[in-house]
Amino acid sequence: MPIDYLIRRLVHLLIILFGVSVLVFLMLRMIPGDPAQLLLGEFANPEELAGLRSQLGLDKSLFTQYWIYLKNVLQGDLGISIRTEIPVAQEIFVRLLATLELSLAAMVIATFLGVAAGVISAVKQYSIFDYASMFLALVGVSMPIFWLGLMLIYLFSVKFSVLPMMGRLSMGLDVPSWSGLVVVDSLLAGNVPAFLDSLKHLLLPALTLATIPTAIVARITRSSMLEIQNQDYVRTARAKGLSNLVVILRHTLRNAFLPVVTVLGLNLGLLLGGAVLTETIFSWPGLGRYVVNSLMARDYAAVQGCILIFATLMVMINLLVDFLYVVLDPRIRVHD
Amino acid sequence: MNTPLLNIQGLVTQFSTRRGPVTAVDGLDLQLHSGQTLGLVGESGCGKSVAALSIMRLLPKPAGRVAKGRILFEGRDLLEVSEADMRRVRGNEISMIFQEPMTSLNPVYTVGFQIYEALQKHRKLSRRQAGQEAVNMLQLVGIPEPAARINDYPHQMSGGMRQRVMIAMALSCRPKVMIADEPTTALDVTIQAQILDLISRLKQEIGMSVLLITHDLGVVAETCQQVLVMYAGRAVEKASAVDLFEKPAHPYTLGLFASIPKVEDEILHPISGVVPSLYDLPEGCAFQDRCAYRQAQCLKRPPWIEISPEHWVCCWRYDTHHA
Ligand SMILES: Nc1ncnc2c1ncn2[C@@H]1O[C@H](COP(=O)(O)OP(=O)(O)O)[C@@H](O)[C@H]1O
Ligand SMILES: [Mg+2]
Repeated sequence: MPIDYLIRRLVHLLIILFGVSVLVFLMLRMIPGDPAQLLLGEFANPEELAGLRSQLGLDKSLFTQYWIYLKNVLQGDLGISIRTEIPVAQEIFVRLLATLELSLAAMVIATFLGVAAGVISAVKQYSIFDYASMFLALVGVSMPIFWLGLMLIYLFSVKFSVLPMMGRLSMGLDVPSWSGLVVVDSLLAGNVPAFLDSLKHLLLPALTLATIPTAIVARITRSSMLEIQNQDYVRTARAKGLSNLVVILRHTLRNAFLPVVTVLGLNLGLLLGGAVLTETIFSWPGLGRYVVNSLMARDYAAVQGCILIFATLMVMINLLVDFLYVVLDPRIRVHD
Repeated sequence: MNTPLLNIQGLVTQFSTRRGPVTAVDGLDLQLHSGQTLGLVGESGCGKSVAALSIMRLLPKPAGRVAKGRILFEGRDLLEVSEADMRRVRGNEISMIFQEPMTSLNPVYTVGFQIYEALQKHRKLSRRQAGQEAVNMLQLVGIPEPAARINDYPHQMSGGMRQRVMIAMALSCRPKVMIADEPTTALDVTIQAQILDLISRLKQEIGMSVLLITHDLGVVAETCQQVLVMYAGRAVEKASAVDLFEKPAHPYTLGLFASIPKVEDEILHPISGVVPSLYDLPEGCAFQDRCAYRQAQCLKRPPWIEISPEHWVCCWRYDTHHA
C-alpha cells in the first residue's frame, strides 16, 4: 500500500475525528440535565451550583468551552471525569481493553462459526443442514440481544450453574496486566486455572455478542459461495483433477471471502455497539457500560472521550478492511 | 480400424429443469483415435459442451446427469469409475480448455501457481521442479519472458495470453486427450489462428488426440481429420474432414456450408427456420421443419447410412431401400 494513500487516510481520520468531536460536544450540551446539579444533588443551593459550574468551566460560552476542550485533546488530555476525578484517558484505556477482549472473542466466533456454516450450507445446498443453519441464522439476526443474554445466564449460570454470570475473573485469582486481555495475560503467565476461569467468564458474553454477526456472516458466506461455485474458474479447478476440498477452500472460499471481509468489518462496528448491551447484562467492565453510566451522570468529558475512541476505532477498522481487501484481491492492488 | 482411444456409445445426457427434463445429448456415438483431431460441429445450443462435460463428469450438479451410455477410455468406462479415479483422469489423462479465457482462470492466483497446481497434483515433482516445469510450459505455449510472466495475475494478461495459459495448464501433465471447447470463439480473428496453430503443433509434439468443439467449419477445415456434425443433441453426420468438405450429405451440413460467407458472394444464406426447442422436438428427425428435402418418412427416426466408406449420414434421403 503506497505511502500517499496511507497519508490520505490519516488526513481523513483527522477530519472525521474533528467532526465527531464537534457533534458530540454540541449534542451532549443539548440534552437536558446539568452536571453540577446531578453531582450536588437536588437540594444544593444556588451559590454552590454556580461555584461548581465555574470550576467546571460550564459558565463560559460554548465556543470557548469547545476551544479549551480541543486544545486539551490535542495535547492528549481528555479531561477529568467528574464522577471519579480520575483522568478520562486512563479510565477509558483500561475499559477499552476489556471491550476489545470481548469484541475480539465475538469476532473470532462469528468468523469461524459463520464461515463454516455458510460454506457447508452452500456446498450442501437444500440439505437439512442448509435449511437448519439458515433458519438459525434468521433467528439469530432477529434475536434481541438483551433477552438472549438473560436466557443464557438463566440456563448456564442459574439453572445448571456451569458458567459464571458476571465479570471477567473469579475472586481470588490474580493475573498480571500485560496486554490487558485477561485470557491472554493468564496464558502468558502460565496460570492455567486463571486461564480456564477467564475463558469461562468470556464464553457467555462473547456468544451473546457474536450471535447477530455470526448469523450475518453465515448468510453472506452462503450466498457468496453459491455465486462463486458457478464461476468458470471453479470448473477449471475441477477439470484439473483437484480434490473437492481444495476446490471448495482454495478456489471457491478464497474468492467468496471478499464480500465476507467487508461485512466482518462493518460488523465490528455493530459489535462495539452491541457491546454496550452485552456489557450491561454480564457486568463486563468495558467501555460500553462505562459510556452509559457516564451519560447518566452527564460526565461530559468521559462521554466525549469514549465517542472519540469509538470513532477512531471505526476508522481504523475500515482502514484494516481496505488493507485486507488489497491483500486478498490482486486485481485491486495498485500497480505501476 | 484399431480400437479408438475414446469411444462414446449411446450417450444420453439430461437436465432436470423447471419446465421438466430436457435431453441435451441424445444417443451420441463418437470415436476419437489416438493422434487424431476430431471436430465436433454444430450451432450453439446443440449439446456440444454438454457432451464434453459428460466425458469429464463435470456436468452442473444436481441438474445434469448422464442417463445412458458408455464412455470408454482405454477400455475403461469413465461413467463407472470412482470419483477418486476420475480425478486422476481429469487434467492428467484427459484435460479440457474452455471457451471463455477471460473467466476461466482464478483471479486471485498467479498463472504460475495455477499451472503448478495441476503439476503438483498429478506428477511426482519437487516444488522446485514443478515450478521450473510451469515456466517451461509457458515457454512451450509461446508466452514471451515466461520466467517473469509466471508471477502475473490473470487480469494482467490479454484474452489470447490467458488462453495460452489455459493450454499450458491443460497440457502440463501430457494428457492423452485434450478437449477444447470453442477455444477461439471469444478471441480476435488473428489470435484465433495463432491459438489453433499452437494446438495443432502441441498435439504433434505431445502426441495427443484432440476433441475440438466449434461452430465454425473454417476452424474444422484447418485443424481436423475427422468431423462429427451435431444437431439438437444428436449426431447427424460423421466423416473424415476431406469427405465432409468434398461431399457433405446431411441437409443440415449442406445448410452449414451454404451459410459460410464466401468471397465472391456477398449474400449470406442462413439456414431458414429456427433451432427447435429441446422441450418439444418433432417426432422423428429433429431437422425436418427446416429441411428442404423433407419427406413423409422424416416423422420416423432416420437410420444411419454409410454413403461411402467411413462416411455416415443419419438421414432418410440416403435410404436406398425406400427410395
Ligand atoms: N445447466 C443447464 N441446465 C439446463 N439445461 C442445460 C444446462 N446446460 C445446458 N443445457 C441444455 O443443453 C443444451 C445444449 O447446451 P450446450 O451443450 O451448452 O450447447 P453448445 O453446443 O452451444 O455447447 C442447451 O440448449 C440447454 O437446453
Ligand atoms: Mg458450448
